[in-house]
Amino acid sequence: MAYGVINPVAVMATNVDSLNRSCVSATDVEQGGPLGLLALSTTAGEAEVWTASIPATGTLDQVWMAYDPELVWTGSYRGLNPDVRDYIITATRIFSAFRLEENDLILMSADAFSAAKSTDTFANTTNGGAQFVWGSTQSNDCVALKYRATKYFSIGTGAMDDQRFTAYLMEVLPVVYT
Amino acid sequence: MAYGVINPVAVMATNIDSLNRSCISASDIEQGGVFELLTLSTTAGEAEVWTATVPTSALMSVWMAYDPELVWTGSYRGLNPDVRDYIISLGRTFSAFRPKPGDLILMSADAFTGAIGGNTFANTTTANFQLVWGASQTNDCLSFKLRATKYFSIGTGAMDTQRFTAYLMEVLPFVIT
Repeated sequence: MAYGVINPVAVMATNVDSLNRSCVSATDVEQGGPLGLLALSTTAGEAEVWTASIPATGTLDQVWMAYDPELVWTGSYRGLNPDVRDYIITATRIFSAFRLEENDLILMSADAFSAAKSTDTFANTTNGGAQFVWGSTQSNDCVALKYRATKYFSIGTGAMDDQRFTAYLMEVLPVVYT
Repeated sequence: MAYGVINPVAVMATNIDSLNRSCISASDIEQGGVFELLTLSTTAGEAEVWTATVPTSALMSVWMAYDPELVWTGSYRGLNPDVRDYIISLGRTFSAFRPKPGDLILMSADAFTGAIGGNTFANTTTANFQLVWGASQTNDCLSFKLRATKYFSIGTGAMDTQRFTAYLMEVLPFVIT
């Protein structure tokens, strides 16, 4: 199974330190997964680590996005497998996340969404959704993304003629409140 | 005809890369012009260039043109020092930034549609690349508040003509209905 891959093409968090946090989750998290960071970890040694939770109604307008260096584990080793699509942030491992801000541009692989893209051009955070969900309109009271273009990631796998994988350029929209 | 001149005195885009984009338009655009960036250019070699279009429905999500003023004189640039003669011609790639609340921008009188009169607000309107003076802030659009009347010093070579009226404008938070 291929996991999500993202590239923050132009995001405010690149320049603003406060829009970046360290997190830990009780469940596996894919790159590009929307997260709620509502409480600090209570584990010793994690005083500045936030507990990442799956977004829930009421806080869907305050989500962060998982984005961590992709170093795939192969048994006890890392760096042997160059295919970043095999990388998932495993439960209880500290990882990085950034806050989504209006006009941020993020290139997200097709796997970073909950289902395949059809004709929909919006992607919304949903209650209990660990990934963005395609939709025909922008949902209210949540962080939503607007599809801007279809592009690709070049990912070397060693096989012939299979280096390009579909990705979507998404722009963060202003939250529409009801 | 003099075109708009602007100076982003204090804008968030100075420090935040994501608030800056390369654009191209099918229309001439003056400095300080506002527009939407909804689609990427489909021209070969412009994979990261956005197509600037006149504001229509998304009046809150507009960007502002700000490009180095190097006036064309026939086939040459740099011969004419008067930046008021500079306009971003259609089909040429240029720079834009996203105005954010609290940003301060010094804008020449030519950068607005109409004369200021007694107005102290300037709003984005549909089908207009320039800001429009108004007596109040318009809802659901990018608006500016006049903070002071100042000037640009622009050397023209003539005597006692170096100062041209400009307005220090502050970007306001949106009023969303």
